[in-house]
Amino acid sequence: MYLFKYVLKRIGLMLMSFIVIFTMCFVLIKLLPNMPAESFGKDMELIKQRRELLGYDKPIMQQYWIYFFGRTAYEYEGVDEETGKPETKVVYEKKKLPEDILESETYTTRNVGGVIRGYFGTSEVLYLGQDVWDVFAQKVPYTVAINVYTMVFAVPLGLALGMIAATNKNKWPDHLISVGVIVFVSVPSFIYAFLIKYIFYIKLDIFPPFVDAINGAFSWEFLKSAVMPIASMAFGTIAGFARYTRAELTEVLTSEFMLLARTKGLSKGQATLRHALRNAMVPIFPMILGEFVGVMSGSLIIEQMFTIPGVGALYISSVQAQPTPDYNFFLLLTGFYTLIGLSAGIISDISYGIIDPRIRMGAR
Amino acid sequence: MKKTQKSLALVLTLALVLSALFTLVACQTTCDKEGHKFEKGICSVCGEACAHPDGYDELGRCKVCGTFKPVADLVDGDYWVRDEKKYSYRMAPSDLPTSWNLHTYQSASSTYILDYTSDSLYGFDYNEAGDAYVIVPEMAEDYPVDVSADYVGKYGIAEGEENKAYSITLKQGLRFDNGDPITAETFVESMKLLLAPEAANYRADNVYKSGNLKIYGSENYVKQGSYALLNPIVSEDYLDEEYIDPANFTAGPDGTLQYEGKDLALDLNSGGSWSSNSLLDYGDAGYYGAGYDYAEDGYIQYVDATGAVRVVRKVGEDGAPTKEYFLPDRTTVVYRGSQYDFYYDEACTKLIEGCEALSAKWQYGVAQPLFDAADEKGWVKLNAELMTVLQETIAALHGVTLEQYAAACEAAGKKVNGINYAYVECQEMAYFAKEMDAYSWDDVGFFAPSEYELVVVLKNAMEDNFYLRYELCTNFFLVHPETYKSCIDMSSGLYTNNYGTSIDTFVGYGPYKLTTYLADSKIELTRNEYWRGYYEIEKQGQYQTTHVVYNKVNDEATRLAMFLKGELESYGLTDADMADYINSDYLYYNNSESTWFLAMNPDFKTLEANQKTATPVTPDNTVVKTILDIKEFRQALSYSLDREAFNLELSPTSGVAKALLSEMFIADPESGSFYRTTDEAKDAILNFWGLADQWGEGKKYEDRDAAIDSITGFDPEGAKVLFQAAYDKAVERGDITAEMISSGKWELQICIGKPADASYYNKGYEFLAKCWTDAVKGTDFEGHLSFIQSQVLGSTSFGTYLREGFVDILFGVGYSGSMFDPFSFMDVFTGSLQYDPFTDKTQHTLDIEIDGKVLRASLYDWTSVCLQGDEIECPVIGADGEPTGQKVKISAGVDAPAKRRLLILSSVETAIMELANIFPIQTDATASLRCMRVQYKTEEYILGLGRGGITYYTYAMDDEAWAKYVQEQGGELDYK
Repeated sequence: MYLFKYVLKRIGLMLMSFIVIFTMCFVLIKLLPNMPAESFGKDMELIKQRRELLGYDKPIMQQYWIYFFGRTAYEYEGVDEETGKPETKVVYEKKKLPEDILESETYTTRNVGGVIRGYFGTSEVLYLGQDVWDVFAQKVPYTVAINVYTMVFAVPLGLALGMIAATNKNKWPDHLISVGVIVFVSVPSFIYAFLIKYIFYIKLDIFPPFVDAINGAFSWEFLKSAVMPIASMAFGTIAGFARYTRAELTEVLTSEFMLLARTKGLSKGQATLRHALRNAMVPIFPMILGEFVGVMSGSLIIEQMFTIPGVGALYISSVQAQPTPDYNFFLLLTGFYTLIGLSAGIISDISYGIIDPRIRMGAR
Repeated sequence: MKKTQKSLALVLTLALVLSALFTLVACQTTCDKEGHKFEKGICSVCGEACAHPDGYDELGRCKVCGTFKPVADLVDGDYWVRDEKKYSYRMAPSDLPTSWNLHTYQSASSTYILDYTSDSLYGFDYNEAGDAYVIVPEMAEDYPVDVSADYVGKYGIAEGEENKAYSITLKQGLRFDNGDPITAETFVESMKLLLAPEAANYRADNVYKSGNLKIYGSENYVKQGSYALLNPIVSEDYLDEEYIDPANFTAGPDGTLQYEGKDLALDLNSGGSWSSNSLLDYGDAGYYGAGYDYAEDGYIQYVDATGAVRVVRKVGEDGAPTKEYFLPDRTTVVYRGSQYDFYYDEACTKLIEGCEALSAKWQYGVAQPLFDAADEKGWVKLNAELMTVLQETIAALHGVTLEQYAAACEAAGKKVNGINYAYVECQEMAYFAKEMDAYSWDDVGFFAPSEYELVVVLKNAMEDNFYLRYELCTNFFLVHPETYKSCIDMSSGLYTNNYGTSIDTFVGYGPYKLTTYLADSKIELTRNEYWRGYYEIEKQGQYQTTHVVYNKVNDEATRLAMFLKGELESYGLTDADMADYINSDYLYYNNSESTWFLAMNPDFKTLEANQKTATPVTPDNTVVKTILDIKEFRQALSYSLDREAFNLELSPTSGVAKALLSEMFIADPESGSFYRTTDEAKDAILNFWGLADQWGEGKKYEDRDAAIDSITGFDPEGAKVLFQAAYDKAVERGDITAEMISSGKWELQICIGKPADASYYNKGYEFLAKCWTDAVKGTDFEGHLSFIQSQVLGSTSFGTYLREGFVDILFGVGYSGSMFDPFSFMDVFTGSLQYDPFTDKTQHTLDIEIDGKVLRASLYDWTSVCLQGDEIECPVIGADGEPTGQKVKISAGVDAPAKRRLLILSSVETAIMELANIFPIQTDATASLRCMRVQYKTEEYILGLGRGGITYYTYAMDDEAWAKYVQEQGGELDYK
């Protein structure tokens, strides 16, 4: 019950934080200069006409309302100009209703669009004419896939190396692993990417220079061609987990309860796996969770270097887009990543209680 | 039971076999006898290709069902693409298209798909000799025919008018890549979709604003329902009956003044009947409307509306006005910068406070309420209060208050229809405005009288010459209407259209068909078997490429590695690569029409304002910026720039630019001759660089070309002299004070604008800062130059920041386009796109000798009016440099004598360079390596055709043989 109340409270706070962050972002992005520069032979009136249709000329708070709750559609019975048959016509501004309809008030209204109806807007710059959610949904699998593959490969390896180092503390395997960890934690992943690409594509020509994404993110072709980016991203993760696991496990292995476990008759391996590792996982498991939550954000540089059509560059591109920022992408991604970030905090906190029942979230 | 099951199974099996047989037989019967059952060349039942026995017509279409013969069944003669091998044209750009909707695309990368999947009515091809271009019919059967006479009384065509309506007959058998037919009606339907008012498509203005071909009624159609400015209340003829008594204005529901149902409005960006002189322009340039006269002592006296002398101007010994301005006492110098900036001097502020009030970007000025009321477009709906503000503003432009101006007009008897002119003059600047009426599609000059005839009615007549045919090298934004409409979505209350964003949402009609697409990853195109070109005997031998493949690759190193491994057909060399491949046999240079400039802010007012708020690079220093206003200083900056070294550092493929227009501009499109090869254009360069009298027999240079070749634009010693002269002037006029000199704590700070992340601009900034710091050594500026960079600018519109005075200098800026029409192109240097809006080109005059008479007109009039084909009236200038009183009307449009056009163009070019606000620095050229297996049509780059493009590329080996060859070479090729 404590946990339930705690979760509810956290979700309430999360929503409040979300609204504040999103509103700030909405206002700030709308304050950026957003009028294309005049260019040779362009009719600026036409550009402004389109901007008016998009509602960019309206006050920011009115745009905010439209973004969430949509527009009003005015429907009336009219006649198809070509066929002469009666048909239901729709306009989206009251003043555009025919005078007779307006006077007789023989029209109906309904709201259309808006986030509450699942419409996050259409891209006006980066992916012109496309629903931003569709584009995002199309790209996310590639980012998720490349990160998941990396995690699946890197986390067990990192844990295993950490365990080896911890159980061989101050022996040569520990020294070897520790040196490797320092190197790989210190150097950013794109440096490995350059090296890996140089060796395995330019020199040895074993792997292609970019991933084959045509058959989808979870295809064999993708996995096969993504060895280089996976390896590039994995080094840092492996090193990170190895370091944490070693540190935590080393501490736990020297605890008194480990001595008790051994005196109970458990072998060193049994004691380490059943008792030490489980205790060591208390701080490590949230890290793993955090890594998985973070897979959505992608890796900007790795994605660009290996032409992975993921979401890595989308957020920055939406702000830097020319001639104007791509508002709808920015807002969708702001909302998405804000939710992910806030959710990650809650999930991470709750996970402590699951791994170690002694930790009671929300209890006094 | 078992027996029953067996029987049932037998019956079922038999039924299955029979139905299969029946299907086969039925299909075969249908194919052979039923006719018209085929769709797109394929039997809808069994998937077999058309098997009608009646043969194919000359276009390779079945005589029965009209579908094209599939490639597999073709024999020699009816489809010339015979080679079954695979020839891939592979590229690896850093950006792939995300949208290629012809009606809306905005990114250059969209052409990676559109260029291959589109066709055009007419196109460029080689002449018979293969050394120049000709325009030939492509989708059109023949050249356009003038049918204006058939439409007299319609579409604004008057009796006797010619060259306004053209009929274009389409080839028969045109198809989309899904087999659907293309007729004239398809073009019309596409045009209607382009111009849909609810869409406001980005490319819609291509048919009424961009280019010379403007379709009648298209603008009215696309703008129907929107609020639009109509015409100035008073036309440029300034007829008395056009002025309206303000008493007759009525107030609309929102208070906007109206006349005969139309609103009254002002456009801050346009001067209405005052041509380009908008309130914005006046705000920066100042204005004396009352005119000038000559005093007895020879000074020119500038007077305000009341007749009071405000400023006088000295006249030189030769009788020509100098640029020295004084207060009426003849001693107090008030000249600052350009001749129209003098009112900024503090000494005369009080005298001409009206103009002062309009200065400083309108802050605190009388016009401020107009600016506050303006909408996003700069339009102001005039209510009674704002109308009064406008009247006061115009009075202020005359240097007086409205009351003073009205009194002066009253005294001078300046009345129109009995109304004091002071109250109605504003109508010359204001517009009528209204919500645009509904406009019928029937009134748009684009229609299809028959299945294969397309008629285009032009807003402005165009003769059937190169320019018309050049404009007709278009597909008129042809789309597949059915697919296009299915992509329109209004469910959110907003018009959206995702046509051309995936394979499913796009249907092409060019030589290639999009077969693979993944955004930000890969595109692949293969031959479109329905394309008419593959059935035309004239195109035999073209289009050997079977596949076009683009893979997105972000880094240059990978791209180069791919090229060396034989995985790309071409590679664009970077600056770093040039040293390695400079001697390669496969190296090609590609020039473009652009020239890159060094553009400077010469505006005292904005420099002074920036100077006040600038933070010194060295603490405690006093920042000086106004010296950039001194012409000699700007010239010195230009001459001290070693352009060759600059190019070597930043863009080794570029050459030294010596004039505004590059060598790629065509002066005579009929013959293809280049502008820069004409004597007039050469003289423009020689005049500007001071070598006009140094060529010819017995002189330093043998001919013009030798003299031009000697120009490097780099004269460090001359620059030092100019720097020192600028310093002396700056001291004389007080920019650098004695106190500053004695303390030594001052810096001339130059803010260079550049995009945040661009290697070219980063290196360029470093180069310029070092170059100019070294250049002033030995002058009094030594140690006093400082540089800062503004990196907050966007990448595509940073020119605006110079125009608005936020930065002092831009480099690497320029224009592109209009290669075939430098005369129109010149407008960018005097019109709204100029980097130097500070200099009022309507006031700078230029004398040109035409037909034995020296004519005087403003730079603006010569360029933006006369060269564009409109008439200007010029005073004839006598030998004494003064107007003789005689006036000549002249225009220099397309129909004018070529020599006249060239003379005006070249004279204007020199005059603009001499203003010393924009200096040519670099030509725009790139270099690329050609893959060993590919051959170009021509080694020379031919305008409009390049080296043949995909049409003419030929391959020495197919993909398989090529891969094998590369392996035999060790997996990496040597291009050095």
